[in-house]
Amino acid sequence: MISRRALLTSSLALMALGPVWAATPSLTADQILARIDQNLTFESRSSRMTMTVTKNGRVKTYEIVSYGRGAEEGASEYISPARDAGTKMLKKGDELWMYMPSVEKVQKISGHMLRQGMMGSDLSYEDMLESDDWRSNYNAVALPDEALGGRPCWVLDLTAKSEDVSYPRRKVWVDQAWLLPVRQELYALSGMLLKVWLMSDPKQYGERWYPMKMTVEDKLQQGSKTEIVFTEMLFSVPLEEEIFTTRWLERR
Amino acid sequence: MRSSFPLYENIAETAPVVKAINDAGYDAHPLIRVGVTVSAGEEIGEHFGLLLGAERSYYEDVMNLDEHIVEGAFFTPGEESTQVILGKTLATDVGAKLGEEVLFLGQTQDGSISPIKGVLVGIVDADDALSNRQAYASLERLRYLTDIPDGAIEVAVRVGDPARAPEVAAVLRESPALKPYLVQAWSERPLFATISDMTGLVYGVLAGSIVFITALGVLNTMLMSVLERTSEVGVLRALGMGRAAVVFLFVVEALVIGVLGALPGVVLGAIVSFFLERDGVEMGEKVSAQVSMPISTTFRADLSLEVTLISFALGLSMAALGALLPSIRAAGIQPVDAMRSHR
Repeated sequence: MISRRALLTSSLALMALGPVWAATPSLTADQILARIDQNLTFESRSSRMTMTVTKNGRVKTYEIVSYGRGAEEGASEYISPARDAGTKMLKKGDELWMYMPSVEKVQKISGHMLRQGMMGSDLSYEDMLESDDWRSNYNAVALPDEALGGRPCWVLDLTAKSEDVSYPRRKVWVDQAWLLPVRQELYALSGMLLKVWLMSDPKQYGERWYPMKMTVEDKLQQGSKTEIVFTEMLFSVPLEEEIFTTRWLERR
Repeated sequence: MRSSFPLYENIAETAPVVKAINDAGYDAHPLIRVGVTVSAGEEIGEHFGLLLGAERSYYEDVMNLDEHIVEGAFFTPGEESTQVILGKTLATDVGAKLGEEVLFLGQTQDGSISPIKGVLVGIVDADDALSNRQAYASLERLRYLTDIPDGAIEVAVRVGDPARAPEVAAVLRESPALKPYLVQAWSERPLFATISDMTGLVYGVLAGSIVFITALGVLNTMLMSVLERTSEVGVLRALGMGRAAVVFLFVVEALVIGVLGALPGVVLGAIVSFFLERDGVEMGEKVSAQVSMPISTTFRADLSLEVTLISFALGLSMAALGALLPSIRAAGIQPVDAMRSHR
């Protein structure tokens, strides 16, 4: 016969665990990745953003208009500062092109250039080419849950399935309500921490949560930080076909 | 005088630095030197080189660049900002022609891709390989390219006697305006010294290994060939030939064989090296993708008269040495014993 004290203790324990179970639906690591992919990929998107790069004590702010279609196509144009105004970039699959207005030339970004910071930021051109389809690129292992800023997060350890990705390992904190990777630690094959990527200020678009602010810190460069803030964001917008062609790059 | 590499560790404003050096009684020249991709014509190529930006006075008074022009002309006064000059080797690699636009793709001090272009007005043939692989533009253009509007990467100080450089550097270090910067004599600059030493060492070890293995082969062949003819030495000695004459005969024979072997070898090697230097071996994009700095994906030979002559002379001396040692030994033994020898 169960004693009254034991019954009370069990009931209290169940009451305490109740909310945790409620907030943590039984999703596998793979299902979590699929939900992240759903949030971060889109059919089409048009946005305006500011990118503030802090490096070596200098702060530089860029204003950018960006378009995206699926995971494979993206285009962006720099509006300011004056020195970089008119610079355009085009992503087509695993190829990246850049139009430099000062010399009126289109340059394919390849080789060593892919590892350079995009416009001097902490995001490399390689990061631009990285596909958001994490489920195809990584094997995920669930680690014990943690809270980040008071919000419950799943923690996943992602290991690359092939050598084609920029980061062989990622440790990702996924907000359980937003299903967004609010913190990512990007590691080299050697285990060295390369970058920390934060996503915050999410906004809901239908069923999708999308971060309005991203912060990337290159851990190999002391004091280096890039902050991207979306000022306008539209999903499922009709986009001109020409935007995703090299012809658009040279169009004034 | 210089601040350290990389680009972001620049001298943001050169005016007070130049003034302090001038006040100390020396000429000062702000310089910006960066690694760039160089291309001419419509397509952006994969030719890497160094681009130097300096004032006209530095090119004329310090480098004497105007005296080394072999094609075209030196910068037109007042039009330096639209013109460029290329070193001979770089111009050949890029395939740039006079009057053509040359595009340079470099980086700003923040690491952002940054291009400039200029009309090729002259080609220089300087005395050193580094200068011939460089491109030359105005300081103003390089300030734009690197986004250092009023600064430079280094400020060069001209000292009449190069040996006095450390002494002048010590004096300049005491100037309050130069305190924030690293002041070094040319002989104290670790980066260039290290790169130069390392390049020399790697080149020396590679060339030395190849030459040593080849020389060992020649030496071994000659040793065996003379040893096998010990009985011949016996016959020659029995016929009355002196020891010295026998040794001389074999050494001369070895030298003749050496010349006959080395000449076609040097000619064939020079032909292969010529094509390897002109066209190079394309190693593919993956090579440059492994490193975060611009390196050429085409590896080229460096054919020089010095190395060709050394290889030729080494071949001959190894052949002579290979004949000398066994012939001295054979000439030293009794003719009868030598004739009995089967080796």
